[in-house]
Amino acid sequence: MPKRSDIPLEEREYGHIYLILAGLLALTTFWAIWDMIHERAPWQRYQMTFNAMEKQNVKAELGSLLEEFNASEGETYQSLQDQLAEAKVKLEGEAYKKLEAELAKAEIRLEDAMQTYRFSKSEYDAIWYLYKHAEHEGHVNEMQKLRSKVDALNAEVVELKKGWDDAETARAEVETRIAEIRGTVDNLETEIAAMREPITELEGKIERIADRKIKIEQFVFGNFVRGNFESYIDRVDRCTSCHVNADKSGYEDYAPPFQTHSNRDVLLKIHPVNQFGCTPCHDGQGEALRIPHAHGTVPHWEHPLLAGNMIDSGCNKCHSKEMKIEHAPNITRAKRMFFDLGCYACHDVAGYENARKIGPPLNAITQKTTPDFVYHWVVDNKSFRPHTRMPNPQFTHDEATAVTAYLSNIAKDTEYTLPKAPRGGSAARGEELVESIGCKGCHIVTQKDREIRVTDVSYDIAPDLSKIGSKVNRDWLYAWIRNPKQYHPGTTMPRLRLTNAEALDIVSYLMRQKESDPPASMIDGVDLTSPELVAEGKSIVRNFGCHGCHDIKGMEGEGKVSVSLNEFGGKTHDELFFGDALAKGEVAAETWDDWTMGKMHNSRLYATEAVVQRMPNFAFGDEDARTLTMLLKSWDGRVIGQKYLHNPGRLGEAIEKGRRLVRKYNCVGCHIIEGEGGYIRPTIVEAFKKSGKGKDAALSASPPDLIGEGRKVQPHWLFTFLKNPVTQIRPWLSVRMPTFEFPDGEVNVLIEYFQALEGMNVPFSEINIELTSEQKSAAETLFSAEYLSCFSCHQVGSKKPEGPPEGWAPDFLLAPERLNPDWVFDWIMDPQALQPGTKMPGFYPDVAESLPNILGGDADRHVAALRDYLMNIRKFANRL
Amino acid sequence: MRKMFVLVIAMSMAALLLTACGGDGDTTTDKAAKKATTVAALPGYKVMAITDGGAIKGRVTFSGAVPAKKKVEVTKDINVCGKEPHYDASMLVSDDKGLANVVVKISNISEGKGMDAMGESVELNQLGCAFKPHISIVSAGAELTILNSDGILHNIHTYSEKNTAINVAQPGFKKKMRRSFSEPEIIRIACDVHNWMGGYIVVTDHPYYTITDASGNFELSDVPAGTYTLEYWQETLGKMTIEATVEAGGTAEANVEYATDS
Repeated sequence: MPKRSDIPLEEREYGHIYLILAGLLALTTFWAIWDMIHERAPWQRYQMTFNAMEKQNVKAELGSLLEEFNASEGETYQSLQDQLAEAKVKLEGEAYKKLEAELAKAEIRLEDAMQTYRFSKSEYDAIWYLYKHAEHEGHVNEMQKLRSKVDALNAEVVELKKGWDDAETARAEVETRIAEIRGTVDNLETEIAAMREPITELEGKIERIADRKIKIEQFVFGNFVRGNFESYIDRVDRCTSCHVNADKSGYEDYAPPFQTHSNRDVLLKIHPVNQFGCTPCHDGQGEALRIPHAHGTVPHWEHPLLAGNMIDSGCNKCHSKEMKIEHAPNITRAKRMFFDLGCYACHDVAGYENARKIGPPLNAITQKTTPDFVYHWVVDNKSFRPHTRMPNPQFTHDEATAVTAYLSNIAKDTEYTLPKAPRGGSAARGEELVESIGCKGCHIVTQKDREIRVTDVSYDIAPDLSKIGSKVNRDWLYAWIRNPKQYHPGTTMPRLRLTNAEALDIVSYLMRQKESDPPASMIDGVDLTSPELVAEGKSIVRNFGCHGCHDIKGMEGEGKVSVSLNEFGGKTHDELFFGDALAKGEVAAETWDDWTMGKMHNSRLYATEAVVQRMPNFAFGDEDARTLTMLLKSWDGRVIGQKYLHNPGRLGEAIEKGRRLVRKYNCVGCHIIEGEGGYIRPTIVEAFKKSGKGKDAALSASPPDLIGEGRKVQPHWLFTFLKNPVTQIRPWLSVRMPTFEFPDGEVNVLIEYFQALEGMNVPFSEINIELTSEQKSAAETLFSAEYLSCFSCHQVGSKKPEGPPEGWAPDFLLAPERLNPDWVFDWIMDPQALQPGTKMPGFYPDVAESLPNILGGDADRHVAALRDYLMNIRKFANRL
Repeated sequence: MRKMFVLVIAMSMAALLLTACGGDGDTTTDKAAKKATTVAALPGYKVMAITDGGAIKGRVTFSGAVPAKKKVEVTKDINVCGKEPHYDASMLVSDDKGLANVVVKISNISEGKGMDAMGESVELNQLGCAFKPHISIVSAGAELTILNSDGILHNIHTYSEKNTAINVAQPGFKKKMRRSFSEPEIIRIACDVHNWMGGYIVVTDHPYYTITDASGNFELSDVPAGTYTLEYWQETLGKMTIEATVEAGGTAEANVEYATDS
């Protein structure tokens, strides 16, 4: 065999090479097709599976519908069909054909009649012209000759017109008879179609499913997120290519991807998929079509699908300004925690720039407590108060000694002077007061309170007083509870308008609440005035950023000591310092989630010998840690396009501001606001139990639910009341609405908040209610004991109802200044609708119906008379 | 499509034929059942004729010391409410330890006597500023006639969970009103005008409910033979359950004793 190179080029064999290449090409083609269908396009299979599934469901639905139809309407349907068949037979029958022939004839007759008439008419017109012409020219003879012709033709025209009309009538008659037969068929057909409509609809649905094209579904959102070059980038979501029916109800119990979106009717109604898509909330890679790619669980995709507990963090991208996000309780709780715990004291976070310092000032600390207490507190505050919201500073012995020295030192220069508290006071009366005037709206005092007083967060919003006697001194406590603002002008602790005797009783009760086993002093013999120690303490306080939460003299202008959290959620794991935690197995994996969870569990987790970590230890439990991690995740630095951001509007903004204040002053400790709060209630029930009173009595002695407050009361009254809440609306309550000394601005925020909750746009309106004499006498009758017997429970000034005060209802004399007439009307009409569970019974409309002699027995007129009388009651009060 | 249509008609005709043939036999029993109940039948409960029913008799006692009668202070409308002394009704124990006002029911019965065994109409009277009776039994959906015999303002405030809570005033001139409750439950009722007034409405899902008398006795009659769970409920002491087997024509004993701490 000659060598291949010896064979001349044109004679060489290429067949086997071509064969191999062709084979390869064919294989590659098959592979490409296989890959396309099986690897790259799972969505095709999902769509096909879903279509088959839906078709089956619709068929099943159709089956049961048909069954039902046959059972309930089968008979009617059959008789209609029979009638139709019968009617159709008539259409085919001889009689109908005859009619059709008749119609044809009648039409020919009509045509003929019209034709003859028209000829005759034109002849007449011609003669008539000639006649008129002759008249014009004055040819009298000619006129006479033509006259008879005109008359003859005129008669003929009239006659022919009549013939035409007759022919038309004849045709109409035949037509009516035909329509009668046709109409029966048409009516029957319409009726049958209407009856079968649901069936036809399902049949159509099946056909439409069969016609559905298998294709990539996508939504494009313009200018969704800001890119690196300041311009906004569009986003494309193709998620619905696989999650075909996320926006269809009825598949709630199916496994993904065929599962209906959770809470779809609410969430997707607010966020239509074609406007908001999927990844704006859920993250992931919207354009991708293969599972891991689309979910973003591939290397280097920065925002993988938010899963499990992190899902809510998606809400915060567009709802970052709101304290409360409807339908997202976890993120709402996270925001409350962030706000309550004062995280913004050390970290920069947008929206919290001007938030207050949440801790007390430390400039006169020795007036309040002892250096020993300060020492133990900064070493381990949680051992004294496990639920305090102050994180644990966990200072070493040396650090704590220095800090104690520094704080004791600045306290020497304070201008705050503490008067001596008088001796005496009854602890028993003090206990009663603490249980009854409302201290437990914010404070935990006993172990029992801890068990029963459950709030929406795991930490205390105000100090636990169960060991207060081991912390503060008697003089300080006496001064503090009488006027907290004197020691701490920025405090949210209100004044309860205590008399000196009351304050003394409370002090003697609280001072008995002591730690059972106080720790021994660790700074005995240390010279706390040593300038080196003081200087060291100052530098520790500054480095650890204590001034973030506390006012400390000399550190007024200091900045925040830690990093900004505005882009923290966008950090990648390689930007985070894990210390030795990975090696020691203290964090599970090198991920952002694990790092953050670790930090939440233990703020000092990543400290090493070389790297000091200063963040005080919050030591959150699992749930709290996850909740805050979720919030941090949402702050990833991405700037979302304006049109996607939630715009709360004027009322929404008012609500937002109000919610922050409600949180700041812990109004929900006592009141139920927006359906939440009233945390004091179990403690009142408990206190009532002691005196043998039941739950109902306790609940009616609890601070009121503020449902509908904005519509209920007049803004001017509310302003005066909030500034100085001394008006006793419910004299039977021993709980006192405290004096918060709100600045005017805050009172206005609260008023606007309550009004905005009720959707009220106009804060003030004129109230001028005329009372007619008819209304007056009707109202007086209705108010009386024989009728509605209003005074059986309601007080009118000095005229009190019978029985113990807890059975009373608010003083009518307050109504004209306090209540909004529209609300009064609705309230009398149906109290339960405005405040479910209220003790005020409903009288209307039943009462009006049984009293036809009063205002015609018309409920609206009755209630209007009662309202108008009430709004003018001051004029008649002395006569009641 | 056309084939389908023919099929539909064929099916519907077949269905018609079937119902036409099978119908006659059933109607008579239906009518009999309807006749047996004047009160609407309740879901989950079937009325049947009881020919050889048994009875459950028993006594409910209290093992602790007989509590002293506790007088309730009348603080309002004394000329109407104060005619008769009021006593705390939350635990009434007779001298021989019989516990009154215990609601007894069969908790697992799904067929038995007709609902009219519960009585044609149930009346709840507000008399002398007390609910009379203290516990009313009314079947779900049936009418409860609420009377105000005092001629002063009262109100009926129900603390219900399954039924919509109501708080309706009944002024002195309104002698009578009617209400019904659709869901079975024990509803506490109160009058907000007279805070000592309290009582209960027991809304039932079948007729085998009764209340113990002043000496703690009760009887449930016309019970079909079988083994049942009896549930006892006392407003202060709570619930107890026992089993009882009823033989045809026989009488089963079902005594229970509430202990102080139950």
